[in-house]
Amino acid sequence: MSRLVAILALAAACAHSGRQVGEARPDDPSWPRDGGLRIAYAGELHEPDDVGIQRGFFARVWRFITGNDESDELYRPYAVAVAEDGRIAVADPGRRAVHVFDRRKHDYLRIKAQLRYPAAVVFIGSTLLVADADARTLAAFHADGNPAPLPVEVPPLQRPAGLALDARRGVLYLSDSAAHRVYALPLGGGQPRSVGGRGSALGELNFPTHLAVDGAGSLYVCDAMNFRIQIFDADLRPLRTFGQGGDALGDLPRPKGLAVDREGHVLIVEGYFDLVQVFSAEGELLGVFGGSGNQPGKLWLPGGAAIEGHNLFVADTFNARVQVYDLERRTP
Amino acid sequence: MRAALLIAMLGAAATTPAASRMSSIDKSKHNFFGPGERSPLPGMDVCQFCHVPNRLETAGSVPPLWDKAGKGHNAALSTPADPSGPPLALRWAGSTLRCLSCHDSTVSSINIVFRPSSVSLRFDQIADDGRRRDAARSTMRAPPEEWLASVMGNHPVGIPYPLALEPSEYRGYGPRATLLATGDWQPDPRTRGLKLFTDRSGFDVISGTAGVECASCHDPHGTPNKYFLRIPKERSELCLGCHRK
Amino acid sequence: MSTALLLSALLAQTQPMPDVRSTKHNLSSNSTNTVHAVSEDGVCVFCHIPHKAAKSKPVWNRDLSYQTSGLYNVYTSTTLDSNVGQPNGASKLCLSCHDGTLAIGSLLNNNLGPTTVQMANGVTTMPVGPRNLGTDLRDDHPVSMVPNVGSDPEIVVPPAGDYVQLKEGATPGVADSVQCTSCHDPHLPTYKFLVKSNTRGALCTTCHSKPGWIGSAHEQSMAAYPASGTQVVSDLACLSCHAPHNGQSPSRLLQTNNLSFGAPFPWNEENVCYSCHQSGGTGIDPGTGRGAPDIKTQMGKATHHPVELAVDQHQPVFTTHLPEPESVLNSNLHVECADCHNPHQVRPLPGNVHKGMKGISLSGATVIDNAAVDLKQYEVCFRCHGDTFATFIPPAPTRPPSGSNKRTEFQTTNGAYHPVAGAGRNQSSFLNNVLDAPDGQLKGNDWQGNRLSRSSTLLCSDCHNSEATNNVNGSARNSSAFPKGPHGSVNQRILRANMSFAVGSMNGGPPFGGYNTNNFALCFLCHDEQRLRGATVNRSNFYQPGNVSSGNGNLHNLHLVDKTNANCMECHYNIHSNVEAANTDYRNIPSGSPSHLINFAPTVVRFNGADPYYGDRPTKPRYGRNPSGQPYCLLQCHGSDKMNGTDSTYAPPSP
Repeated sequence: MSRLVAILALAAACAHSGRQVGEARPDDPSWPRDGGLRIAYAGELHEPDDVGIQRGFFARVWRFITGNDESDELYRPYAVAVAEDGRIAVADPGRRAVHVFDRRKHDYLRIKAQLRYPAAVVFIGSTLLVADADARTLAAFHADGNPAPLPVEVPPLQRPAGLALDARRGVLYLSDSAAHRVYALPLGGGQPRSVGGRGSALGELNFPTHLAVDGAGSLYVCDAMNFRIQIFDADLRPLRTFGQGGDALGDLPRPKGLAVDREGHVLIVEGYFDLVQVFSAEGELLGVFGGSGNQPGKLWLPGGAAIEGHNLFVADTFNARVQVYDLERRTP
Repeated sequence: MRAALLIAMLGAAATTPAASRMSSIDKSKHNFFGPGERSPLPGMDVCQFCHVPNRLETAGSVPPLWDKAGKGHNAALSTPADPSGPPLALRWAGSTLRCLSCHDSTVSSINIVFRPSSVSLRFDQIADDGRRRDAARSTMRAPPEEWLASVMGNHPVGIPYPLALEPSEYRGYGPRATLLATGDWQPDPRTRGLKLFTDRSGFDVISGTAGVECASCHDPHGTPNKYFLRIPKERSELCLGCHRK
Repeated sequence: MSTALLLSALLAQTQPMPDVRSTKHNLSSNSTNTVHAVSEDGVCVFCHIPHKAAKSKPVWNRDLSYQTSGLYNVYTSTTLDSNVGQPNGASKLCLSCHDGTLAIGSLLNNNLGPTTVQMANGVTTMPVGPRNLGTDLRDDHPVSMVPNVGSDPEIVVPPAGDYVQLKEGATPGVADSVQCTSCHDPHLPTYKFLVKSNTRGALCTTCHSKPGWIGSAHEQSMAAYPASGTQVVSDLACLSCHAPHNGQSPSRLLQTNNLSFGAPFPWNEENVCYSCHQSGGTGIDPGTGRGAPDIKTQMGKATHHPVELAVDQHQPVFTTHLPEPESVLNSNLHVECADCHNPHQVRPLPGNVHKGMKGISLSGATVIDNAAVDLKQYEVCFRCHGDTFATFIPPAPTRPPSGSNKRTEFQTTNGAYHPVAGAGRNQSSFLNNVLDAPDGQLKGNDWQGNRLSRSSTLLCSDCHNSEATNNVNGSARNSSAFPKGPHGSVNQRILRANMSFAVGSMNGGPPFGGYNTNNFALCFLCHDEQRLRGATVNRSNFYQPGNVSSGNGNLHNLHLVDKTNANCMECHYNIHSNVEAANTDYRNIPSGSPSHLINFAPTVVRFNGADPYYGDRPTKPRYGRNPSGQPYCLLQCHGSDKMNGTDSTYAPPSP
């Protein structure tokens, strides 16, 4: 197992009980050295072995006969999604495939199915949905990798770039970046609703990409070329925005992946400086972690993000891995 | 500093309608207000989409709530792409990375799925981080032969160019001590309109330190040619600007 | 800036560019090649595209799915030491056009242009011809293989800095394989895109190190090939016989191009040689005054080494590949030019024509011709005419004799033998005299140029040679005939002069009505005829003074001319040696004492009575020495009992 125990740190100032002091990384000057909330590095995912999925006997024999086969490894992971049953889907446009790691059944699956550029993935129950930005389609797959019927009605798309699911209200959100719109597609069919239109006013979008949904049903949209996060309510009414372009701490010159944790913190993957920035729901900067590099915990042009429980998965694209951070305490 | 100056100049141009003129970028697809559109607000300009506005020094930043004591020190920000600073250790940390941060099929329909083999024509040992078991190291290898049908290649960037027919080292990568085939390269592609870079993202290139980035062939500000090319691609003149075959 | 670009663009079109634009690989609409596009003006785009290419290295713009399909037939050979797999590395890129599976204008990506570029003149895939290698690569130089330099000393890795290089193969980043790009650079404005000129075989010999090649006949020959052309064999070198692409042979890439006369010969091993070695096959070499020796005519004569009988049975004997694909001791019925001559090392006469060959020595050991050991001619002949002769000389009961193991025949421990492998048994000075002409003229020299004597040795080809060599006495090597050699002859048994094989029978009488010297022309090239017929002084030792009817005592004369008209062969049946004398009983011939190659023909009948000296009744005609040491014969002569021992003892005067 390759779970390393390097600990990343964030200072805690909010009144959250139960948080303990961990260790700062001595070689990283960006982490504060006093006590507080720590974010721990929980490991990386590069190939099935990393999550304990051993290849089957015959697969290992084949591997022995034909020589090392790297095709189970991630190559350019761009987006990641985690299912309720623990499966992790990683969209890998460098391989034109989606890798699915099943941690409970110890199974690995690679879905190719003529995907051209899988840009976003999301699980609806056990069905996997993949947005193919190049083919301008949405595709659905069963747990065994076979195609499944789409659970939603899909409008004509120009460039589907993001997916998010509001399970409680049964709505699938889909962003179309070239159309500058976000669609709300009811599960089971039904008329799609949409919001957006190109512009920088509230309610307008300029190349929306990644999406996330919080517990209250609010939709968080990565409004990429407006360098902000725009938040809509469950009826697609714009609520507020935060963020701006720039090189100061907390700016979002290249916002990428988006996730909302259990406490409502908004985690944004920032691709220009290779950081994960943590904001409160109101847009106040809480902290940053990450940084450029290929060491454990560092990022290199990261992409999408997903949350499972208290773990944050970040698609670390050019490092060919998905990094996992534990958002609550972790001690060595 | 340079960025601030630039913004100041262009910002001034944008806000005085009488003196403004449509530059090539205004009409290009890199005008993210919309090609031919103007900025809706004063203070916003077309440059900020790619040239990240410098707010660190001027506007000041709010330190993160969870890190008040750290005063907002950001390791990543302490190593900007500064021509006078030390070179970034990572490859592609030059201007190419900025191109790739959008050209990933989401913001742009053009997706350049760069794989390490497309960066270098040879096995890249510089980015080989011995501590990693496989991941980062394997990405720098050429893909296995059987992946051919599923991956797409790109012209290498982030690599040295033998300016004046001398071997170069760029961003810590210098594949050869002596050139194999000097007859294969134009001595100075800049005379043809292409650009070379120092590994600190500057233009003061001297022989031995020249490198190729996306911006060597493409001018992100827009050109009269298709695809933002600096030289038109007809009759393969663009290729022959660097390659002598 | 734009003016400068415009100017350079204009110049680009008016001057011939010393780059890919002046080659056949300029497929753009601006080129004058036969294969060019109708309207696509990009040059590089037919193979390269900077984004969305098939392969990053070198941003390849053609679909490579066939090339990775594993559907090629790859080169194979019994002398191949390396493992040749399906094409990999850069060879796949070349094959994506040159195997004829994909249209030349079919691109992966052409930005906003069409991905199927229309080519002029209706060209779609590579036009049929030598440049379309097809998917059967067995007739092409193997690529995508790691050369196994350890096992074959003739395969070497190109030296560092050479234009010929090993390239990447199955392992990215490791340049260990032979690929198309080892020899060709598809951008070079050179002949056939070769990275290095192949004049005098310089390109081939970068990797194929042929010992003995320098100085060999083919490496030195200044004969023009084709005969009417200006290129000479030494410049063509390897390409005279080998074709790196579209070879005709099942392996080793040989060709029967027959350039002097147009269409290639059909595939046959000897036709490779006949391309030059036929009448008018090459021009005249100014150094020698002759062209290539015309062996084809020799092989068309009445008797010849039957090279035409077998096709594809031969495996190289002179190879350094181990294990040898063909045993030095040949075991399957065939003979080819390369069974006697190593074309990479052969020297013209007076040099060693068998240089570089392997042979069987007198003791039966394998001998390899190299710097230390110079192969003898008989050692080459023993490979087929030695221990395995039965494979090659079919039994022919009507035509005596029918082959024998020449290796056992020519052992120098035998009682009598023609001195091929060593000086003969008969070392008497008298023998010297037999080889001398009565008027003092030399009967000829041996192959080493010395006067024929008891210490001379012979070559097989001193008897078995083209009939044109009977214009000299002594060794055929001294003849002015061209070509020489046991290739073919109008006489039987590839003999260089007539030799009658007719023998008499018990009841039928002698074979001839009268003596005709031409019946024994072969023998008389070395053995002086007059000594066998002459009078007292200049005679052979088959002599009984006074006791014969013709008066001169010469017993050869009596048998050949006087009393009977015998054939030499009736007493000297097997000319090579006495070892296989099936019909002779020797009595009291001391070991070490010569038996004069006396072995009786099968038609000679044993004496019908007892031996007067020893009392026994031999079951075969006998030749022996009586207790006093005098030679005698004991046999029936056409039913007569005259050779009863007592009357057929002769005592030649002292030698």
